[in-house]
Amino acid sequence: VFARLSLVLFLAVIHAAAAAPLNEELKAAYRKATRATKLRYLDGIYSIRAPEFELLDLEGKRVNLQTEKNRQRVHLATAVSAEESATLVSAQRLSPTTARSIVDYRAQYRLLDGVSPKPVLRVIEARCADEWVRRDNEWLLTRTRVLSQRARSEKRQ
Amino acid sequence: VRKAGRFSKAVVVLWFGAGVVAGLVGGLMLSRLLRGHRPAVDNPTIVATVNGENLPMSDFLGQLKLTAGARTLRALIEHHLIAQQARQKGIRLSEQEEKALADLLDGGPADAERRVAADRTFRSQVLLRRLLLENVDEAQVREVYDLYAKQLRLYETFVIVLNTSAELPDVLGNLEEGSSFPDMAKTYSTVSSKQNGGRLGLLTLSQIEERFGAPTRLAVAGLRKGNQVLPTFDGPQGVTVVKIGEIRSSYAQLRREAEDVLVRSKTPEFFYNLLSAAQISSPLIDKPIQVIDPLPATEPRVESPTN
Repeated sequence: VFARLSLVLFLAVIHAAAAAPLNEELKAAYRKATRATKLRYLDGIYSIRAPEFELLDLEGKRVNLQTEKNRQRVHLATAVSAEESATLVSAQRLSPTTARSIVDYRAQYRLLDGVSPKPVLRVIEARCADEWVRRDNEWLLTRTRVLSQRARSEKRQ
Repeated sequence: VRKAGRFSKAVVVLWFGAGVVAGLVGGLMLSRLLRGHRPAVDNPTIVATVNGENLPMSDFLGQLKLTAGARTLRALIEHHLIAQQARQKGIRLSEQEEKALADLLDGGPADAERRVAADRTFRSQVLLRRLLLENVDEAQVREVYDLYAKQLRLYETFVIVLNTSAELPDVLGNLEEGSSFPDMAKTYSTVSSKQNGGRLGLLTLSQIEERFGAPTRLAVAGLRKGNQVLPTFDGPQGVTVVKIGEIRSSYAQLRREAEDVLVRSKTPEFFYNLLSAAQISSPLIDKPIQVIDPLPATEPRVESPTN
């Protein structure tokens, strides 16, 4: 029993040791993208996407990336301020060069509607399932699927 | 005799008068010919003449107000607010920037109004940048570079566009034999960049993708060194040959681009705060002024002596 317990413990430690760098590396990738939102830097937001990246909406339909990019460009350009955070819920290495993760995003935009001089605070929260590939020493997103999403507007400030 | 003398005197006066009138008319016609029929330059009430009919300046101003009045006025107000802020903070153009502005105006518009506008626009851009970077330290600029060095990287891009692939073997053959890309562009290219030897300027990877598509972006991203001709492809304007010249990737070379990211990120809130606090009234503005449009993200880098 002791030998089995030792083996299980040993495997658990090995697994945790392998997962720790992955978690940190994926967190760093998310930080790169969310920092870019605050900077309103579209190229930075897309810097963690692989060329073959695809985005699937809540229903699993593929989103047109050019449309999404244009919408995001307008959003970032017209917001008085933009903030975004990403909380890594789980991460799993599938092979030395692939991984998947679940992440919670929270984006806050102060937006002007063209009617009132005071901006509205728009909060968008989403949980996404991400798939990653490791290429040229960095993790890149190959697919994001939106699992849940909600948006709300708060009082003018 | 007296009568004849008086008669000949009158004839002389008449001829003299006719000569003066003919001279004036001829001079006027000659001057119009030399100026290329541009009465508007001299007459501020006329903006153009069309088949001999004058277009009044008031018509022009009305049309301008209708189509771009609010937007232009907003830009003017923003220029004014920037100038006020800069004055308050004692921020002004450096000697080098003043010289760059003088050089710009030397090659700029000839009429006084447009020169004043060009002067104001240049000053605003420089002062806005200075105001927004006022509290930015080196570590913040460095952080942007470290995070996005690949995205900020600049590629000097040249292009030759051909109507058909018939001339392609000649172009590629000449390039292989050592002909210069600019010379080939001047000879064969069908787009306006041929005047600059095909040079489009310094582009980022995303700008290259926007102009030439994702495969070209991938090809450029894979380059380990510059001065290389990429595989030919069918572009929207025709058969396209792209050459990447210099690649700028060091912090020293891209420091300004990293600063630009910070400037763009701060611009909307800066204007929102300025416009919210300012008291502005105008018949051309019937709703609250929105934040400024950000600096265009897709334009190639502008190379100026102040870079």
